[in-house]
Amino acid sequence: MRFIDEYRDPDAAAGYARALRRITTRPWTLMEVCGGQTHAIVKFGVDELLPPEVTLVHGPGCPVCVTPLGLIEKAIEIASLPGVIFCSFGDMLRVPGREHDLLTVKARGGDVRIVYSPLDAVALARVHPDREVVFFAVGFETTAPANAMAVYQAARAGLANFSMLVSHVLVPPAMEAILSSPKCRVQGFLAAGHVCTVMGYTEYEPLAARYIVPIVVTGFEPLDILQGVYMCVKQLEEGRAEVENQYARAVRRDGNQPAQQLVREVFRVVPRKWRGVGEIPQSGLALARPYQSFDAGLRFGIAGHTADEPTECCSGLIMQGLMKPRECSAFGTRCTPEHPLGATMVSSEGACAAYYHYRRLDIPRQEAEVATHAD
Amino acid sequence: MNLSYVPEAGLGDFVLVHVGFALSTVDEVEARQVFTYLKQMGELAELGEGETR
Repeated sequence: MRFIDEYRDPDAAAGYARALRRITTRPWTLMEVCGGQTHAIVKFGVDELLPPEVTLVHGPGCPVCVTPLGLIEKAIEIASLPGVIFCSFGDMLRVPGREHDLLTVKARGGDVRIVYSPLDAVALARVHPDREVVFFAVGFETTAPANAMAVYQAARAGLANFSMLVSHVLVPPAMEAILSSPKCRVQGFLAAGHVCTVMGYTEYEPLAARYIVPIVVTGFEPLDILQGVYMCVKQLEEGRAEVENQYARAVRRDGNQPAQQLVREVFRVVPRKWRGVGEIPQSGLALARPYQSFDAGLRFGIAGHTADEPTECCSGLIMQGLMKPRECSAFGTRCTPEHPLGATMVSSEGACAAYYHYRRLDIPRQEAEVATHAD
Repeated sequence: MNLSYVPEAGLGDFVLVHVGFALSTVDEVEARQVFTYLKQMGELAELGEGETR
């Protein structure tokens, strides 16, 4: 086994599709939480294999998409300062702020660099003691252990020129925000497998019980998603609401304990604003007090920004499962990956970008032309 | 790649890596269950090779 190709086997996928058709007796709406899963579903056409009764809506699990505009403005401001090396994962660079993005800062001579691991930013701080190195720490629980390690190593090495702009978010509070909304149409969840490799899945058990909703920890390959959907629909049809683990090859019930330990050491849980969704209590991570000297916001004295979202962007509704990307009148016309109105069109994990890359040719031609002319 | 979080990983193990960090070792027995589950439902009768590849 090589753990990738076999999970794309078309015969096995057809098997799951048949099994799913056999057990489905009425309409069900499921949400896949993670943007990586959304991407796989649209890319491989997993949704097209499902019986017509089963609808997948796309969740808020794209870290780039939910980073608030105010924080992007803050990043742009810090990255524009002389003497700063601003490091980020690549897909943050094109997320639109109020006027421009981090890529514009780079084009105007700012030292903005793409890194693949936060430890690369720590290494840069070591070799440039005369410069301030700032890492844009964006992500879910999956990325938190790496960012915690970067701060921990910088602290141990006494790297006074390293800091972090933190916009970390947590999945279970966002799921609870969706479930507790009176408009909620989600009846079952595919939980994000990679988040659970770190956190395990015990924190979903109270959610499943309180909201009577099945939650299936699910992987990212087409067969994983099909099996996750099958397990979730089976629970719904049988009237069960439990936490099950489809992704047992990578996820253990209690997650990765050493990783959780360092995350608890370096970060603390705080309320966090989600772009397009609003503030969710206890839904984010910020640096814990002993590590606050590494907080880039404090170091550069950048006050909190409150920036208004562009009114035309529907990403908030899309990330709560209330709307699909193609139901947005700007999709593929006034909003494209080259000229995005919102972050769900920018990030490789954004739902709108996934539909644009793999499904835009399905837009009825006439409709697209009319919208273009109205531009 | 940083192996700090998977002290149990050994030579020949597959690990799941995110932004330069291994977060979990892949359990090869559990890795087959996506196919055994299908087989139990009678939907993978002729697909035994899925288990061994």
